[in-house]
Amino acid sequence: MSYESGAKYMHEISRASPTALVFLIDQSGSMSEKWGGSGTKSSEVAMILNRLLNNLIMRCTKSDGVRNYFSIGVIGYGLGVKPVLKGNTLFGRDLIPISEIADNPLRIERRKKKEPDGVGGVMEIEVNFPIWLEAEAFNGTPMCGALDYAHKVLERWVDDHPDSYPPTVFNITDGQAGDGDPAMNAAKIKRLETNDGNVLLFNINISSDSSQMVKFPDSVSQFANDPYAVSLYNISSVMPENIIAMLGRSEERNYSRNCKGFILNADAISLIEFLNIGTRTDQQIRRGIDD
Amino acid sequence: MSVVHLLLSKEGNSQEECEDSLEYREDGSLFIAAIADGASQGYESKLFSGLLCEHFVERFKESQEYDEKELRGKFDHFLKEVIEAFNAAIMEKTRGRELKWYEENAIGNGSFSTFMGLVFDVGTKKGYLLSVGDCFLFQVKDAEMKTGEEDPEQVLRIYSENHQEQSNTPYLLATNRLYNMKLPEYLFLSPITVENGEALILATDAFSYFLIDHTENIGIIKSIAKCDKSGLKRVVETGRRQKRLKNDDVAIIIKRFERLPMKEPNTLKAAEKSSFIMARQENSPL
Repeated sequence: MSYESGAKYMHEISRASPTALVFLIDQSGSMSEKWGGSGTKSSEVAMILNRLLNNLIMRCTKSDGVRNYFSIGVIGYGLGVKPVLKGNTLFGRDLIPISEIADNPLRIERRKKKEPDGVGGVMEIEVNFPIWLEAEAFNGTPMCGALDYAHKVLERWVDDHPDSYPPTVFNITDGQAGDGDPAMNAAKIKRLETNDGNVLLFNINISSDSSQMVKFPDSVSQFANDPYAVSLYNISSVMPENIIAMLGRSEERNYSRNCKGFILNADAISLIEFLNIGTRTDQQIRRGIDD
Repeated sequence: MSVVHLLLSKEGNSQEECEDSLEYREDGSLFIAAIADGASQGYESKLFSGLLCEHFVERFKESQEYDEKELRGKFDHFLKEVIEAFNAAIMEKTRGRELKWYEENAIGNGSFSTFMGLVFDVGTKKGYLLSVGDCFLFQVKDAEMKTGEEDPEQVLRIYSENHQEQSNTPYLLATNRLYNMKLPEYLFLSPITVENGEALILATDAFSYFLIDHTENIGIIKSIAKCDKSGLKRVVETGRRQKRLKNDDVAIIIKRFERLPMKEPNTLKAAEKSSFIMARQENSPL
């Protein structure tokens, strides 16, 4: 890939110039609904977050430890709006260097992972699967409050890191905002910027119909009858051109130039694939590194 | 001096953090060289890229003829040997201490690297190239000649694993054998023939794409082919400063095949000229 000066969302993420990722986790009462046959929406949301953190940490792990390419915030909304990571030193903190998150999971489970066996088949191997967040579902859905909280955290951060890759906010929810229309709050976040572009807001929607999967749509046509999905689509950032080109190449799909950072019931790992901390390999992309 | 090399870490990193590697050897008429770019998202990438280069210059010195079938077999054997050496080194490094969860997972995922190896008989001017991922070899014809109005396609030949499909997700060599299943598809082999007066430039991705961006102005590439080490370093630093070269680790080997005992090129001037041309282009209304 040739290097283009002047384009946005091109700054490499490094220890000297990290980026911030804020995960907004819907922990409202509606998340206790059943989802996908065996679990609940809240257990799915916790699983998504744990996988995303695991994936990010694996990408930062070098021989000298976990490098701080990312500052991570995990903000829950349900019974209030607050940081929700609880492992050791993590409690109550808005943004945490990723190395501290790596060293402080709540527990580590052993899980089976499917791998190619080298002769065309698949085999199962056991890997460590750390847990930072448990399923929780209480009270209402103060999504606007959560977006405001993220704005407050990131307003300071972009002032302190004007030359960094812009922060990304991931809102993981079933889509039912209980404290108003989130459009204004979302717009406020998306107006924050560094010299490399505006803050990105991506939404990961866990809907009641888990069989309907949509990834980076450029219109609401596939979920027009779901008002919550439409609302989340509307507040999602348009994917930067270079990122969508990269995702298209790695997934061998043609995404529209107007597609948005919105995922409905689909694998969310691709939302962090683009974070540029160095060349990703064909093999890493295809196997999703940790799943 | 007919061989120049440069290994430089990305700006802001120490040289110890450079995950690109290079090795070369001149042994009688044999010239053998290797470059590799350890993937920044792998574990112990520097170790892997270094082992690939070290083992290549040692193991391929006996194989000077281009025989594709034999070379493919030899490459498989070479890779197996490198993986064994990598695993032994990791065992040694981690012996006697408890691994953290992410270290265990990272070791399981392993390391990845691009690779390019060149074996050349300077006497016959024939050799071959083996490559996986986006390392490149640039064959610069008439590298000693002054720059004129030349057709770049007549002057420059670029070798790589399908360089038309430039991508930031290249297929790479892996320390986990399971991820090398498709290697036969992606292992690029090519015979190489050069003439006196030509130069070969082997480079990892960042510098390669910088050269590719300049293929329309072959004078710059010719100037670079004539640089000494300090001149080459200046070209890289200038390119980075002007944001024409991605801030990434760089491994470059230049082998020149002099036509006659030539006048030592004024390499500093060559580098300055390159910088000048780049600056001129940057300020150009075009």
